[in-house]
Amino acid sequence: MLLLNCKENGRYVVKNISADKTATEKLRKLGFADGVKFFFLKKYPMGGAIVETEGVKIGMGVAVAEKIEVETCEK
Amino acid sequence: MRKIVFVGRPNSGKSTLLNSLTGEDFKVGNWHGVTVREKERTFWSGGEKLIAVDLPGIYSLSSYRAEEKVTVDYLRSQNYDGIVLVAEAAKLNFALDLYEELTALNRPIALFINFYNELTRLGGKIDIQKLSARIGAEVFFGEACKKKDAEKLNSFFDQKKAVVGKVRAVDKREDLFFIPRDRSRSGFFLKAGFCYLVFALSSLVVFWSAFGKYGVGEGLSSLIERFIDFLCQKTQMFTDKNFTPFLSGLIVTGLRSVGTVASFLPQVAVMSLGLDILDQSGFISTLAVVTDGALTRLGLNGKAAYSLLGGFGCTTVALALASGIDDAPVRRRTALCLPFMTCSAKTPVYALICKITFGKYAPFVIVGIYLFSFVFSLAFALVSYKADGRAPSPLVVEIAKLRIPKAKVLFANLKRVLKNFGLRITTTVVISSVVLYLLGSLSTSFTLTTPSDENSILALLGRSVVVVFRPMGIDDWRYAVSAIVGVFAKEGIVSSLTSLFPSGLTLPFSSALPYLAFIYAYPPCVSALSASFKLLGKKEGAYLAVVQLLFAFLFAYAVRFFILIVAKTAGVMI
Repeated sequence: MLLLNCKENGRYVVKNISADKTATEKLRKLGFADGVKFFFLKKYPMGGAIVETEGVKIGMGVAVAEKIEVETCEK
Repeated sequence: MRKIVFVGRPNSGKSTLLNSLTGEDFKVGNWHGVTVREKERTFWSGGEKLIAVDLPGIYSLSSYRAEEKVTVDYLRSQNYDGIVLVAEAAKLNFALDLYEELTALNRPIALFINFYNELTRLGGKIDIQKLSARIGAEVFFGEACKKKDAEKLNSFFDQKKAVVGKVRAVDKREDLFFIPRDRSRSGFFLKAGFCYLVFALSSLVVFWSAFGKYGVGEGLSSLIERFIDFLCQKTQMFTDKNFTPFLSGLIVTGLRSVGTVASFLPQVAVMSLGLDILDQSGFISTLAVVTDGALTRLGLNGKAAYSLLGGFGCTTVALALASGIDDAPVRRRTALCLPFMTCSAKTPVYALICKITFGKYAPFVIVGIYLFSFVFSLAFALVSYKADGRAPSPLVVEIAKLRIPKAKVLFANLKRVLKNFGLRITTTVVISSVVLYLLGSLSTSFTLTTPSDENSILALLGRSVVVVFRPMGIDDWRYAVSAIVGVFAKEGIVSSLTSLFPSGLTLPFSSALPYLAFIYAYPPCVSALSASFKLLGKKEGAYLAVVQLLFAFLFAYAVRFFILIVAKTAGVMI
C-alpha cells in the first residue's frame, strides 16, 4: 500500500521508495529507507506527511510521500 | 592557537554550546540557514586561548546541500586540532553514524550529548561510561545552554590529554542507550489546523503589539518620541547660546533625525521577537510541511516559508536564509519575490506617514500593506514559475521538536537585532542627515542659507528629480529626496523627512497612498541589493532592481489614478 493511505499512529515498514534520487538520499540520511520500521503520524490536505523513526520526525512533500510503498508492521 | 571545530546534525545545539563556552553571540536558530558559513571565536580553557569554529550542521560527510558542503570541505581540507561532535540525546543513534564517518579524519574527537535532561525526563538512559569505552573517546553530557555543562569539555581541551587514534567505529549499540518514543501531545501539535491557527494568531499578536494603539511597541515608541522632543529642545537652548546658527541647526537636526528613527526601535524589536519565537519554538519545520503543497503550486516549496516570513524582518537576512534552500529553482524564485515582501526597515516610514494621514486607522493601513506585500510577492513567484516552468524538488525535512523558547536565546538574538539596527542608525542616518543638512544649507552660489531653503543645492537637485514623482501626486521635492536617501537605508527616509520638514509633515490621502505604494515597491536598501546580486548573480540582480524600480513608479501612478477616478465618480474634489 502507499504511504499516504496509512492510518495515523500506525506502525509500518518501508517496502520501496521510488522518489527521485535526491529525495531518497535525504530520507536515507534521516534514517528512512527500505526495511525501516516507522510510525505514520500525519497526512496534510495540501501538504505531504510526517513519519517518525527512531526519535526523528521526518516531514515530506506529497511528491515524495506518494512514491513510497509500505507494509503494515505487526509490532 | 589550537583550533577546535564543533560539528553535529542541524539543531543539535552547536551554536548554543559555543555561546556558553565563549560568552559570545552566535545567532541561534531552529531552521536551516542560521549557520551557513564557518564562524570562528576565541575562548579560554585552562589558561590557554583556543579558537572555536562553529560549522553548519551536517547529516553525513557525503554532502549534497550547499551549507553541508561548507562543513565537509572544511573538515577535509582545513587545519584544526580537535572535533567536538554535538549530538541531541534523543538522536544519539544517528550521531554515532556521523561519529563513525568522522573517525576517518584521524583527529581527536569528543562527544557532547545535548538535551540530556529531556531524555531522562522521558525515561530514557545512556550508559555514558560504556559508550565512552566503546567509541574510545570522551563523552560529555548536559545542556548546551548551561555554562557549567559546556565547561565539562575543558578536560578534552586540555593539551596534555589530547590523543589521536584511539577512536573506534561503533558496531553494536543496543546495550549503550535506551531512547523511548516521545508521545507528548505530538499529534495535536502536528495538526494542520493548529499550525494555521498558531501562524494567524501569532501574526495578529505581533502586528497589534507593534502598531496597535495599546500595543507595547506603540506605547514605548511614544515615550521615546516625547523624550527626543525634550532632549532636542534642551539641546537647542544650549547650542543656540554657544554655537553659530549653522552649527546649532546641524547638531539639532542630526539629533532629531537619529531620535526619530530610534523611536521606532520598539516596533522593530516586537516584530523581530515575534519571528524569533516562531523559529525558536521549532514551529517553522512543521509549517514548512503544512505549507509545502500550497507553495509547490507557486513554484516554491515548504523550505521557502521561513525565508518568506523572514522577509518581513529584513530582506538581507531573508536572502541569506534563502541561500540555504538546496533546490536551485526554488532558491531563485524565493530571491526574486523577497524584495517585494515589505521589511521592518520600511515600518518606520509607513508608521510616520500613516499616523499623519490616517490617524487612528494607521495600524489597519500598515497591516494592509503587509498583507498586500505577502500576496504580491507570492504572485511574483508564480509568474516566475510559469516563465521558466522548472518544478520545485520534493520536500524532505527533519521536524524540529516543539520547545518553549529559551528567554536567554531570545534575548541574545534580540540584542543582536537591536545592535545592528542601532549601528545602521548611527552610521547611515547620521551621515545622510549631515549631508542633507549641508546641501540644504548651501545656496547655489555656495553661501550659507536657511536649512532646506528653496535656493539651496539640495532643492535644486530635488526639483530635478521630483518630475517623476508628480504623476503620483507628489509636488514637494523633499519627498523625492527622502525616497532617494532610502536607497542607502530605509530608516534614512524617516530621518530625512524629519529634518526636511522641521514643522512636521502634511500629506493628503490622495498623495500619501501613492507615495506609500512607491516606498513599498521600490528596490530594497543597498545591503539587500548586494545580497540579491550574490544569490542571483550581478546581471539578474541588476535586472530585478531596474524592473522593481520601474514597477514602483508605475504602481504608484496607478494608485494615484485609481484614487482620482474614485474621487471623480464620488464627486469629491482632490
